[in-house]
Amino acid sequence: MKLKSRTEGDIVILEVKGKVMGGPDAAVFQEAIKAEIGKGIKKFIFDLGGVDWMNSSGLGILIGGLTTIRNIEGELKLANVTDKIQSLFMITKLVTIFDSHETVENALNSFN
Amino acid sequence: MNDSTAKKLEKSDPASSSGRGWIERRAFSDLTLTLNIARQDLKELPPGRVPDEWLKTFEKRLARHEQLLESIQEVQRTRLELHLITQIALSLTNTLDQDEILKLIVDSLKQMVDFDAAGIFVVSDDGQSVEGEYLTGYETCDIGIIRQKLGQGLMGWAMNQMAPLTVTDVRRDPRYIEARSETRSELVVPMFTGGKVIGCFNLESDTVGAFFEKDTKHLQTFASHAAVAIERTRLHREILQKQKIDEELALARRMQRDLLPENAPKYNRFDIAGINVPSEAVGGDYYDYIPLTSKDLGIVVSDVAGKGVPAAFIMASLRAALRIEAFSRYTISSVLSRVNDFLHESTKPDIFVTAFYGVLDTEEGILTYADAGHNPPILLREDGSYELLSEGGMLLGAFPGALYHEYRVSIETNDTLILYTDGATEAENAAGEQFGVDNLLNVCRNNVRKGSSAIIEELLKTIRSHTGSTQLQDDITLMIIQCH
Repeated sequence: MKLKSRTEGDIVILEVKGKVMGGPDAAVFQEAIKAEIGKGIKKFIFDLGGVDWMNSSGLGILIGGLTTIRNIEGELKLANVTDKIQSLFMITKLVTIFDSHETVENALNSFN
Repeated sequence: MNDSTAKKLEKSDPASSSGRGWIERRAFSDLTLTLNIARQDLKELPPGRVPDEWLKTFEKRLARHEQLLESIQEVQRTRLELHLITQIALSLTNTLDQDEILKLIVDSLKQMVDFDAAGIFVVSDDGQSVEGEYLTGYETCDIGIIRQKLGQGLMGWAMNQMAPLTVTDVRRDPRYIEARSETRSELVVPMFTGGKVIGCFNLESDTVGAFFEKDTKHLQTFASHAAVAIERTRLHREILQKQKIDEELALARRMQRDLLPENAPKYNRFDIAGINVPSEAVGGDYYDYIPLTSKDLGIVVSDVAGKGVPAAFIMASLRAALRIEAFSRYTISSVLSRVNDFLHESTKPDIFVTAFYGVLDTEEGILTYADAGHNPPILLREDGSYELLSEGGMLLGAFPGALYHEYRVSIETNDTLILYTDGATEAENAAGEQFGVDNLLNVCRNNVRKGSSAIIEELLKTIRSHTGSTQLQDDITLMIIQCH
């Protein structure tokens, strides 16, 4: 898994790439979010367009991220969710929890 | 070392006259020749009239013989030392206990060099901690200071430089850290294997200039033998540790097997079979039959995110929670809500479980169920059509207060209910292609008349032939319920 972050105003876009599969990735992901929260960021977009593969532990990483952001009363939007991840969201019913958008642009616009 | 090599060593021992080398024999005959010539010359010269020229030549020849004898002595000394080192190195192969090896090394050093105190230290990979040590002659010293010597003093320097170090007078060396007030000179030799420093030994003497540069050459040879012996004890310990872990994992595997059903329950109208194949010693898949009443059977198929030992812990908690709730609650939705909250309290949010839980009325053929984020079971009807039992609610353990809804479906004669975990459908072949739900369904369709156990056997066989020699990436659980 590779992470790259950029900021648009008060929103951080976290680009996630490669295989997302738990283990050390989980800590890296949490650290990245916490670092942004430390800077006062409350609005996040996870751009999942570059994710090649995600297993159940990878889903756990997303859930962990969402929980951390919710705990500071922040907001999380997902963008570029691939078909494979979308079908995982459908099976697990996470589709009702995550606010997914087709593009980063749409996700940016969805923040009020 | 075998017997014949040992005999050769014995023969080459310069201390035994029979083994004297050609250099010694040649030197002896040369000297005899010189003396014979001189004797002859002296006989021929008139008495009291030895010419200066002759004396000069004679002195030159004697000086050359002297030089030769000195180098012969040096060769003999080296041979003796190497012989001693080889013998000691041999004795180091007698034990695999690190403490014994360290003591043996220090005792052996005493045979090679004289010292008043000595220590040997084995350090961790990062050099930060001491993994073994043996000290002699430091009886009244502070162990804290000895450790300091190891990190910053002469020992630290020698290990950093990966080179031996001789200090003639420690009082004149700013790197020296004092542990013994009597010490005047010190010698440190680092030990390494494969280019990596594993520790060092250090000798201290109460005499100034007790150690010489030439001592270090042999001690370095000895240090390389010592390092190999220490490395052998480390490998041996690692093998023992791995054996212990393997034994514990085998025990955990047996215990986990006891948490899974041994046999499927038998009913007149229903033919049931299930199996769990973990990809590692223990796994995170769980399936169960919970006989709630004589006719109502609770059925569970679930998958903990992740695999191996961490997943196995959650699997055991899930089983306990689900069984307790199943026996004490009427509705499936409340059982799942309680289990969800229990798992949420017990784990971090990124740990979750997907589960299908249903209660089968084995007389009426009604299945009441809720799917908590699990791969939906497939209800294969007699006519070949199928339904996915996907309704229920959120996966378990991630979000507190999740609500679940229960649904009912009638299972008719010759219908087949297929429950599975994603380890089955996502099993990959070498090309990375997944087995898939379609294949799962097709195998069931093609074997539908053979009964639940035979369907499971066919499914496993087909999945295994799909993956080929590739190792399973995830645990596989399958359950088949057929209505007759």
